[in-house]
Amino acid sequence: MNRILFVIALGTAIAHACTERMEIPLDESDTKLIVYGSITTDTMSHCIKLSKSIPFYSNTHPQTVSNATVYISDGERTFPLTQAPDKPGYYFTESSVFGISGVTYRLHIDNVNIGGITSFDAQAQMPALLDNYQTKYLDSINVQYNDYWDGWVVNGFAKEPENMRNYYMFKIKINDTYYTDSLDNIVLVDDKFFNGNYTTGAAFYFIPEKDTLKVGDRVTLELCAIPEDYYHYLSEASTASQPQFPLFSPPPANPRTNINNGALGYFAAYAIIRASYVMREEDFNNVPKP
Amino acid sequence: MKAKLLNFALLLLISHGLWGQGKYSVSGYVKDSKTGEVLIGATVIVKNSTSGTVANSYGYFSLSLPKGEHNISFMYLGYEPIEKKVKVEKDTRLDVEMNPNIQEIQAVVVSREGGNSNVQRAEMSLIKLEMKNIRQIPALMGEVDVIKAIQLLPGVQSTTEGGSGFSVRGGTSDQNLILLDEATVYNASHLMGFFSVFNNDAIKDIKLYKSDMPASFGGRLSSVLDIRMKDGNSKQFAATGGIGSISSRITLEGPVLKDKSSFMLSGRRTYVDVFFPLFNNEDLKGSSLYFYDLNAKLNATLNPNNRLFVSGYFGRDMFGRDINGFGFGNRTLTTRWNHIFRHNLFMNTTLISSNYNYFLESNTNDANAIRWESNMNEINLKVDFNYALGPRYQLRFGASSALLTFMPGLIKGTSSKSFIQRWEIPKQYALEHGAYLLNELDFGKLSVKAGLRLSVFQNLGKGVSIVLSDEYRVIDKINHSNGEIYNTYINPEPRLGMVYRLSDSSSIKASYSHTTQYVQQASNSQGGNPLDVWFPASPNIKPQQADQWAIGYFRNFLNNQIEASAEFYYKSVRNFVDFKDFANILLNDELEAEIRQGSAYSYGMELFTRIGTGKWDGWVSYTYGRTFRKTSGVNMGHTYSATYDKPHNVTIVLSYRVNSRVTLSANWLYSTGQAYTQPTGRYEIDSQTLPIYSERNAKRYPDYHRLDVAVNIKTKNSLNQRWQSEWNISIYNLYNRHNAWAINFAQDKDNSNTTYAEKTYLFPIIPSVTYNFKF
Repeated sequence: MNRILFVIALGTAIAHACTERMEIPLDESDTKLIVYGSITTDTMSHCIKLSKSIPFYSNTHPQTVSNATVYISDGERTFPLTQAPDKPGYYFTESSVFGISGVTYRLHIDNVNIGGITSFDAQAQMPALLDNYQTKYLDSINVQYNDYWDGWVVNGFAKEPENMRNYYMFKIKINDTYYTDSLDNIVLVDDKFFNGNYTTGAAFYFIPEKDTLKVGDRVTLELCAIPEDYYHYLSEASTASQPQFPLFSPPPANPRTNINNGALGYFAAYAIIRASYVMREEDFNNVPKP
Repeated sequence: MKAKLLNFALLLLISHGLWGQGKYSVSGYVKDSKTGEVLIGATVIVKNSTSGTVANSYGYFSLSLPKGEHNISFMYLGYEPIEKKVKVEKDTRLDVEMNPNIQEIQAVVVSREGGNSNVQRAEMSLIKLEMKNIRQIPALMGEVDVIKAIQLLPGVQSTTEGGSGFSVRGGTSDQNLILLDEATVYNASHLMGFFSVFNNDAIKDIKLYKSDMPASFGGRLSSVLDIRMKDGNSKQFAATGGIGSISSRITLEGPVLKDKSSFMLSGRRTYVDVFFPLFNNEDLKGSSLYFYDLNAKLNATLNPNNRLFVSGYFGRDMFGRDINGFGFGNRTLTTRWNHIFRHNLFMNTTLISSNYNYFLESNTNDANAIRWESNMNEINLKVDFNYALGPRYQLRFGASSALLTFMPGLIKGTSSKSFIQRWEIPKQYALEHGAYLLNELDFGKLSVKAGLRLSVFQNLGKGVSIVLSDEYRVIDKINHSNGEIYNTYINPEPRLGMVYRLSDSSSIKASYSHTTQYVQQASNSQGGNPLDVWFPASPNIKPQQADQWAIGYFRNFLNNQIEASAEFYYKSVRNFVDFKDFANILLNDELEAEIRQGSAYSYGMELFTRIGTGKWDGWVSYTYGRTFRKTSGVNMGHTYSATYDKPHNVTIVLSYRVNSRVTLSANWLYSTGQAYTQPTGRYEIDSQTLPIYSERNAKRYPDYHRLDVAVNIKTKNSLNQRWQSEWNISIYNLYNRHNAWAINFAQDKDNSNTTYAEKTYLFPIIPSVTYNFKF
């Protein structure tokens, strides 16, 4: 849908806009704890990042929060997270941990001090998935060059599960590196428009730079089945990070959070389903030569 | 409420005691002698008495006079006054043709009906705009526009710079009832609001009611903008046109049967895209970007007592690139029958259809091929009566009934491979009825206009209504069968206006109005955009209700050449429709869950001076106006300013006639900067910087001000020949002020730790030339 909205934006852009910097003093809000991280169905070290907010004009990077006690529990088991020695503020579980469909996870943070508050909690439920979900949501993908969009389109072939409202986040990995590296380029999809349909090569992801791929590259689509609330959080956070324009932007606001005690950010639990495609020589046939 | 109703009933009863005895009526149409156009609002005054009236929206007047000889004078701005001696022995028909006054014709932008009627009438907060003169106002790209002219009036704000949305006394833009030949225009903007759908050449008369809305209008809280198209010249064929920097227009009109029937046909199209191939820009190739409008009207006088009119508007905006397309537009059709039962009983019956729709499509012929459509449709039947019961008593009454169809969103796959096959938000149907009674009573020094409107709104099946929990979660959906009325709202809406005449040139006026709005727009952005859909009141969405009080002092100076007024108002709105943070308003089948209803209030003072000396024309106004909202669940439940809460406003619109050919004009606008929300901190999520916001709209943009100038030059020899033409050269934003359209807080691309504030401004200094002709 964003691509269609682009057409409208084009109309607005033609109306000749100019920008210039201004000096505007800003008020400063109290420091807030920022929590972001997740537990997924992958067996790996899951990560939670703790940091603090800073005044808007501050010319530093947001400070990370070290020496906190962090653990995730599912009611029966508790997975402690330890801070990586070389990455202050990043806390990891052991590498054998994985999340399970339908289970509710609680994140607990202690031994921090944000304006006198020392402990914070959050709760997240992993979506309930179909059995053998790894093969149920996504059959395969391919990657094609699209002249009109002037970039690479990752097409998905999938049978969307019927009778369930699903929310998805799409991420792309090229070989071992995430191409999707920030909130800015994740793709969010609500299945209400195509619930239960078979998608034969619908555009799941778009890579605008044509030089990003070469023959032999392995492109992996991560289809993440995320809870509804996290879907809204991501969509709100992504809107909040965009510039404001009078015709389209909603009033500025802070995205929702599931962390208590005035902290911001989100603790999520979701499932990851993957499909890969290796770039072939013929895929480059219609790419314009520079 | 009950007590109020009782008072009105009483007033209506008392008024019946004022029926004239031994009186006869004098009635007829007031028309332009050159074109046969009826003159809406022409003043009719009986000399040596206090009797008088104005021609109604169809140019018809009716007076009730005692037996005897009377001198009746007719006045209309830009026309030579006429006085007729009439011997009244029975009911008398008197159709009048008035001659346009050549000297005066370029004179005034905001109309003065002549004389002191602005002081004398029991109407306040009503402004009339004279179409043929609006084109003198300096305008953006020379495209003089009705809505842009309205935005220069006191108490009216544009919702964004250059946009067609406007706020009247703090109301939202969907609280304005915009009527084109009585048909509702659901989206009055072209090209993202930079132009409105109203083509000047096709328009005859414009009225803006800011608060004291007659009971004959209903359905919106803040204002009524009543625009009437030209009927078409019934005397001779004529053409009007113009060639501008970005669009051209042509209007043809003429008699079908002389003095009996005439037509008007008007078209306009922009041509920015015609030049796209010249830019040699890959992105623009195969692109389209244009809008067009068509206005057409046909009328026939069947006999002195029956007139028929058919008028229509069709307009569309198209944006596209090869396989993507986006289009939106309005369609209206009005069929009217004016019938005179007796000299003093006039009836108008109107059948209206009105439609707004848009589509977006991607014709890729693969899995992504889809078409998204939305549609809003209204069919309305209304009947209005004007009954002149006595020399001092006019009664107006009528009823209307409309069927509204909402199709908020439909997505269709357009290829067999489309991954979306069909998805639709269930259509919604509603009936909106209104009945009104409006009395105009004259007690000498005091005149009273008392009205009561009864509005009824019904949600009609087939449809789905949702049941919401206290936390606005959808807990159930109820299906309603075809034709089932599953929800009804009934609201009495009293309206009262009065004038107390202190002298011939000064008066005090006061008004109260209660208005109800059942249909509103889901628009979450400041300026709105063409995708915003309309949605009805329902079991979940309570009707919005407003009470407005206004009081004013009116005084004319220098033999009515200067009209001055000071008005004060207070308006409060219940069930104000607001939206939760990050509300999802597009393609949302559970839209009602995104809505929070709260309250809103506005108050202010409007000082207005109109100048019309012949040489100098225009107005100077100062407005102090505030507008606030309070909604639980929005801004932590705290009261906040609307974005267009701009307390101080100054507008100067002046033109100076140098000689019979040259007119100079200028506008200067000043307003406090709009309210906006500033970030107070920042943080990072997944390598993306996010701002932290505190109170909504607690800070302000820098002040807005701008000077526009224009010169109008009529070409030589134009006065006596049939071909008349003029050049309009205008400069928008003469001193090139970079007024902020948006302010953003951004990060330096190279160093993410450097943050700064940045404004976006739209229009630097913009000169333009337009050539207008007429033959």
